[in-house]
Amino acid sequence: MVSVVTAACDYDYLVVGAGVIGCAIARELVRSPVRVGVVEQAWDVGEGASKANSSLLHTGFDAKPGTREARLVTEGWRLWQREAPELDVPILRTGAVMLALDEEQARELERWRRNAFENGVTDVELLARDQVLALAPAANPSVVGGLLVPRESVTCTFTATVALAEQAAVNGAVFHFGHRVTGVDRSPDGFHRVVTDRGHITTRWLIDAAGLWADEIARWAGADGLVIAPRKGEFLVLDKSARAKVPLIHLPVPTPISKGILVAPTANGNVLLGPTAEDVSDKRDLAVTASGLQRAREGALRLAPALADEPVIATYAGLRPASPAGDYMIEIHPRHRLVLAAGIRSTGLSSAPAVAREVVRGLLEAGEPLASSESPLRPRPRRRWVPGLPRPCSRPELVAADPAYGRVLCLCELVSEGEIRDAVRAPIPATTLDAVKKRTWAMAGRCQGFYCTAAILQVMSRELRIPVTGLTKSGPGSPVVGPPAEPPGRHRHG
Amino acid sequence: MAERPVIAEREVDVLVIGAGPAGLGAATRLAELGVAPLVLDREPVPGGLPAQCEHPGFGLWAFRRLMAGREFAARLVERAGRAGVRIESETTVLEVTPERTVLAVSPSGLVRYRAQALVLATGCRERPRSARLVPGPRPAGVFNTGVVQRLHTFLGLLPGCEVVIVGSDDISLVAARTLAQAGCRVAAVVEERPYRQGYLVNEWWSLRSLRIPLRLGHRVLRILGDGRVRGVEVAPCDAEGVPTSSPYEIPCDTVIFSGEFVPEATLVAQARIPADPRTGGGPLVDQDFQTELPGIFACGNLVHAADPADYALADGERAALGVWRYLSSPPTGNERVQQVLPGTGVRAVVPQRLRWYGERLDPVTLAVRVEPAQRAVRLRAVVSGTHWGKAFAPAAKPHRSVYLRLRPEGPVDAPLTVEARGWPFA
Repeated sequence: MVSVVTAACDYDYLVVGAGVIGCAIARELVRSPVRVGVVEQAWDVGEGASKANSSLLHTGFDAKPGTREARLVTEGWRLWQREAPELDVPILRTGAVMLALDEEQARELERWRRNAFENGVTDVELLARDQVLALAPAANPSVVGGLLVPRESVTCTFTATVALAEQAAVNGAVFHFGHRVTGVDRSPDGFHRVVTDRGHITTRWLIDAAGLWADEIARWAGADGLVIAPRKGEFLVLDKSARAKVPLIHLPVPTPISKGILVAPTANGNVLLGPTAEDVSDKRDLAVTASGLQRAREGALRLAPALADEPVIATYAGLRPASPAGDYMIEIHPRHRLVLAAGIRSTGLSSAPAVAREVVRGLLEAGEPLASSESPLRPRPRRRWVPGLPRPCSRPELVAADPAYGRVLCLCELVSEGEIRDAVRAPIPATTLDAVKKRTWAMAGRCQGFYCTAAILQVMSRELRIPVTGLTKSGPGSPVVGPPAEPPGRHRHG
Repeated sequence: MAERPVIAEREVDVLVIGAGPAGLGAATRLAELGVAPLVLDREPVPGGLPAQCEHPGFGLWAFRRLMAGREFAARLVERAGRAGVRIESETTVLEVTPERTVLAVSPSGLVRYRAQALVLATGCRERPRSARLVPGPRPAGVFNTGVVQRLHTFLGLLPGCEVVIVGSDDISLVAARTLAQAGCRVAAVVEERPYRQGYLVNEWWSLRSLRIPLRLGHRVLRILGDGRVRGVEVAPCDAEGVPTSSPYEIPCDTVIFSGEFVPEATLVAQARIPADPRTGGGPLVDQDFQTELPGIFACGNLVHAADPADYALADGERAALGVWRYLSSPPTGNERVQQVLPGTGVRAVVPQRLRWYGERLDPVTLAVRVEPAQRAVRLRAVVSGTHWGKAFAPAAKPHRSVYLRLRPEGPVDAPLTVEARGWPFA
């Protein structure tokens, strides 16, 4: 098949936003011989809503039946099962139990069971109190019943987003990091001209997967009426000692407002508490708050009071790009050559592969000559480590082949120099400290970098060939360290 | 066909994990006693946390003079080498079993050691910002003192230009001085408690001489900044940490969370060695620093984080005697074990057990952590109403041990309780 494009624009399809949705769409598009670009304001993939969520792979049992969200989450769950092994994305099929803590909630369970059936999740099961406590030993002893969702799973949002992006990149997608879109207009040839703070990019089709900023991009590209309202969620991460007490996901009975605060294992062996749900106005407000953390903790301890003494090792906040419509907005505007993939809330990680296919289906209907979703993709380089699996430093054959895997830098997570190096040399290179953390979990353990930060900076400096003083946490404006120290002897007072 | 690499097996008499003052103290003393110890250390340069300290204050007990941490560490390493101790650097222990096998990895491969006796000396670390649940966004420029020391000592770099230090432990005060002399502006040292944690002499030497303000009874309410720290919001607070007047902002580009040491007890938890939650998860030990698992010893700041390096060294030397006794006359298991419990005004005591091999004990010094901070403290060791030892300290604060020496004979029939009575602090 021949590319239909004239040379007068940079890309056939430009995806705005390198979150899990944008990366999945880019990966789906590069199955065809077309030019695909991704423009992203941050300096790595998955820095928005995809960075700070609960990393759950939902079956869709609790989605509103008949919605696009329900359909795509269910489809996405199935696609992930198929794609995950090749992408090195971990999936722990832990299952989830929805805990009813009083009789009123127990009556609700039956409603959620019916809801699951309507969404095609037919393996759910109502549990009596004893059955719940046998499955979830840390659950609140006052639990009266539960709803078991056996296929509800845990994955890793970092690994998933990076893997999708890497495969897109290996198959020809071009990523423009650090490009903040400030406007969209038309070039004289009728193409979209995407104006960024680092120059223009022209494209035939514009695909808006900008998450929290999807409404602005859509408005500039000619589609009015979309409003994205950020909703903040705060989380706490417990140390690995807690994991044995949490064999599966503990869900509260949802309220009309929110799915509520849950307790979940993570793919890397920790336990997650949260999220809160708070509507905020500032799309950059990622601050954790004293009250938010307290609410997240209290809510989680209502489900599993036995976790009260487990040490907290990290906290974070994320913003979900909610739309008031209450459902995903996936729209193809052939006249504007614009695709909207917006309003994709906390379920986006689960649905991403299905959303990408939905977008391609829409483009095919609009007459775009794209290949089928079964066309093969070139594989990406395999990862040496996947969250939850043994580290390279514990595998004698890897250490023998490459001593860098035997030099452990991060003591808590047992990350070796070799893994840091691999992250920097990957198809989407990790150029910031946060990017290294996302790919290796270095500095993400109980000491949060006390032992290893300096050593990791040295390896990054060597690999990226920039001085340590030029390294950043998350891109320009976030230098990790200050200037060189003055030699001793000057300023000697006191 | 190349042989498939496997995990090498090695037998050793005594394996020491960690080449800080405690580990080196134990290894050197054991070598002097004729036992050949092997020390595993994860750093390229052995010496433990003192090796990254450029400030003086080390070595008075061991070498009879004050010296910088780096020099102290180098001397300990040199002394160990002369005694015949072997140190394997860049070697990280992945796993310890109760049967004293140790799986370790280094760039030259994986090795599984089998040891007659094992000494854990993995030290301590500071609690990071996230574990302290400090609100605000997560910009660059938030550190622990340990990271700042490493950047400065090993890379010659400063953490930033304008610094706020949270905590007033000695390590915090000294960090303020070191950074100020290296070219930073230290905007303030902020302490949540109403009193300074470190020594008065250190406040004068580190802060007052450089006119660095110390804000006692102040709490960091929020960190500000997007890419990099822009400031901290602080407010005076009461004893419960509730702000008593309106918050204000201290502009800075660096926040250092300092002190609040916790034991680096990952291996202790992983090997399921019984631990003491009152010490933050360090193992339970007897007067020879033997844990509840026979032949596994633990000493230094792993059991009482964080006391000065000289004390860790002394621990190690005492543990060496215990190891030597364990190897030369293995315990029968019939020894009487007496519990040591914290009483009024005391949070934790190390050792938590006394193991009686005969009618007399070798000299035992109890390391006592009070709670709350007190002045003019009288410490008493009591067994069912009978006094067994006492000590006096002009001041005692929860983050640092005060010591009580026991007489070699005492009543064994009931647990020993340690009490502290003094005047409330500030």
